[in-house]
Amino acid sequence: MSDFRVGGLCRLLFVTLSLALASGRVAADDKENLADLSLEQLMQREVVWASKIAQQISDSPSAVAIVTAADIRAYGYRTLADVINSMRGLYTTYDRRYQYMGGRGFGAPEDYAGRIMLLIDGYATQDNLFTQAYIEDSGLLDLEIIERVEYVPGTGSVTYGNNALLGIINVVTKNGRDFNMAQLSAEFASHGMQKQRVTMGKLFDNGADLLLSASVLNADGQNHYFSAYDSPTTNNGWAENIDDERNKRLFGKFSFEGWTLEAAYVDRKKVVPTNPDYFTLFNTPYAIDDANAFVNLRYERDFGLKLHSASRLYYGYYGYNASREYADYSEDNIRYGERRHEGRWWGLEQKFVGNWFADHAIVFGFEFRNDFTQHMSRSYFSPTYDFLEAREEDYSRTTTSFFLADEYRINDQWSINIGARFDNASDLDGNLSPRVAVIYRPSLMTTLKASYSEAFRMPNANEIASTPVEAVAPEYVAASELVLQHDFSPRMRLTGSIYRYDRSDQLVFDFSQYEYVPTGNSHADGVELEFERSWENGVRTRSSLAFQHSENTEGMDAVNSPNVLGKFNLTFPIVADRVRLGFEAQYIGPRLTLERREISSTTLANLTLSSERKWHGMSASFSIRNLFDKEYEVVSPSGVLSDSLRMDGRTFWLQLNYDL
Amino acid sequence: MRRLLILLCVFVSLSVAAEPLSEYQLKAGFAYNIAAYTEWPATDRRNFNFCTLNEENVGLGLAQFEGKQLHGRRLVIARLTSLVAIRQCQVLYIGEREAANLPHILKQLGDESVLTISDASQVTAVCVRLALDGERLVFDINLEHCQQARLMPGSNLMRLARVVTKP
Repeated sequence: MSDFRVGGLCRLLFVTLSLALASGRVAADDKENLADLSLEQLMQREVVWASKIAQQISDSPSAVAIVTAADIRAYGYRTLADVINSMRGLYTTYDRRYQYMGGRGFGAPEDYAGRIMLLIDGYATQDNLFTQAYIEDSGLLDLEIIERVEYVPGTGSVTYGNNALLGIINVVTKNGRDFNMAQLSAEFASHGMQKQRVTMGKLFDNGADLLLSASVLNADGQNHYFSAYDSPTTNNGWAENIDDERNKRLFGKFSFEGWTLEAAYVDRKKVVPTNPDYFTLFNTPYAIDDANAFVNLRYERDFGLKLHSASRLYYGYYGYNASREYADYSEDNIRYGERRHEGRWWGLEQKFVGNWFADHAIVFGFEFRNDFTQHMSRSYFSPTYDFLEAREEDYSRTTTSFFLADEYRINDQWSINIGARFDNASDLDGNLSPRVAVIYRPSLMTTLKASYSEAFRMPNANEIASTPVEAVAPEYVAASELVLQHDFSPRMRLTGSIYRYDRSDQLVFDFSQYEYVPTGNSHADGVELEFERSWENGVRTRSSLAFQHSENTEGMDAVNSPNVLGKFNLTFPIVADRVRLGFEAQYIGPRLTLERREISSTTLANLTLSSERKWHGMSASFSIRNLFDKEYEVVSPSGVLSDSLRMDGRTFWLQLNYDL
Repeated sequence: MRRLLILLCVFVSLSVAAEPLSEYQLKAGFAYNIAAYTEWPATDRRNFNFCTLNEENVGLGLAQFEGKQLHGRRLVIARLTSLVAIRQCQVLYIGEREAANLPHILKQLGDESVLTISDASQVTAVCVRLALDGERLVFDINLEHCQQARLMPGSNLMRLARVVTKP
């Protein structure tokens, strides 16, 4: 899409926002002081009730998108990728290995799900080898234990340091009190998928809260046809019985008097049918195994009346095992390859919030992180599976960070948020990430936020291993955003956003020197609009449109970056409020593959029926994904032989829960 | 960039000084007035600590009362997030998020003279409860819980309250 059309959309947004404001309530009384009103007067006052639409809890001057537990149930979301796909301006790309997230010009193929922070109750989950956020079955959480997911677009380095370039996905888990019982769950879905889960939650009389959950998933998968391999020597293009998946998850959370101990573990094995490597043999098992785990201990308390403290001690683990079979072993006798990677890290964070001055909230603190294991190992074996050779790489990094921010409420209308974070990594120069934001509330229902921020991303172990030493340097982004949020009523909200991202120091291949150099620049800009409404009878709707234009480091349209994304969600109770129907439609515009071929646009629809009330402790959900059995393709992240991949047609999913 | 500026200008020009009260301002106003008309046992503390517990919005609404004199003492607004300091409070406004934790909060408070106020619908064991009645905000007084804290709501509070529960 051209800049001209983005410009036209800006004007449209401008007109819409102006109208929105004009219709908002604006009284013309003289300024009055709340303190001068008597109780009798207050009791007669007209009031603007706070929004009944979910309010953001993340401290951020950007246009936060929220998906709650009620949405997860109503729309039958099974993975974080499903949740992300329903959010304004976001999309995911699946290559039958991982789901990769994209939006606002980010999400180039081969990026993994990087350049975004995925936080679980404040703990950053990305591994320290690929900086990947795991958002499908390799992710840490079952969605049933999630209270809400917030997507905070815009950079987050001022708060979280490394890698918060595109935004932050902030997952808040439920507490034991939200269950206060044991729940058994069984799931069945297309392609031989089965899942069992047991969850137990309890709030004890002394205020202690415990949540425990475990689940197991098994899926047979499908046989896939790839036209690029359609020859008699490669099974006529069919990859047979190599799409199965298994995962195991454990989660526990215990909180008592300001202490919270939380731990999660996931191990996901997936066989990859797409033959994503240039040298491997088609229709042979290519198995990957991703394990992620963390322990996070948090302690929050107030020191006196004006100083709040939050301390965190965390430990994280990532393990990756993969096995593959090479097509041609005539020269080096190497037929099988194995990769065994491991990452381990621990960290300590201390954050204070000082409310010493009436209109200031001053946040300050430090974080120390030690990525003490970054181990990558590749082993090679002969056709008879004799060990031939191995390549081992080991890295480590410590990062010390300090942060300071002040949120200054000048008056009821204006506030300013200024902050910076300094990160000093052992193998890189120190880096300062600043943010300044101005927040203006012309009326109780209208909020306008303008922000400018800078973020950075350190090269990860995988990149360090594959780049010349001189090119190992951070990459940067500067983001400007203007956000408008207007509540027409407590149940109706319009959110609009205009943004621009300028990226710099990206790695590009320099053909004159014939190596990678960190000199690439690129940019993305766009407009997003979202409308949410709910009614007292339980009907909820949310729709959004996002227009984006992003260029790569060569000034050409970026690959796998659609110019238009649309989302529509509607849910309402049916059958005398016993059942809830959830319908969603997602439009993804045309986008380019690695071969710079255009993939056509797609609209996908999903339908979910879920029980609204429990019947003798039983509840159920039933979903149809890709309701109209639409054939569609996504950009292939590896681009090996085929630059696009065909996705699933219509699939079914059933979940049964029983509360003990 | 120019468009952003135009947009900003339009909003600035449309802005006006006053507007109706927000829910949180109103709740803050109620809480302040209720505290002003309640009698505490004599004390020699210099500050009057008005605390909110995990109720940031009401806490911010109360900010404009900071530094005023209440019962002859300087009003200090504290937005607390944990129970550590709640015994230092004269008023404790308990937010919806802490409702499930109420038994524990009351145990911590013991017999300290703390005026407990809450707007959480499931909470009853506090001295003053704020509630929505149609489009208006109202309050109920539970004398048993006030007396446990040796607090005496003034006569006009008793008159304006929607419900007064006697012990």
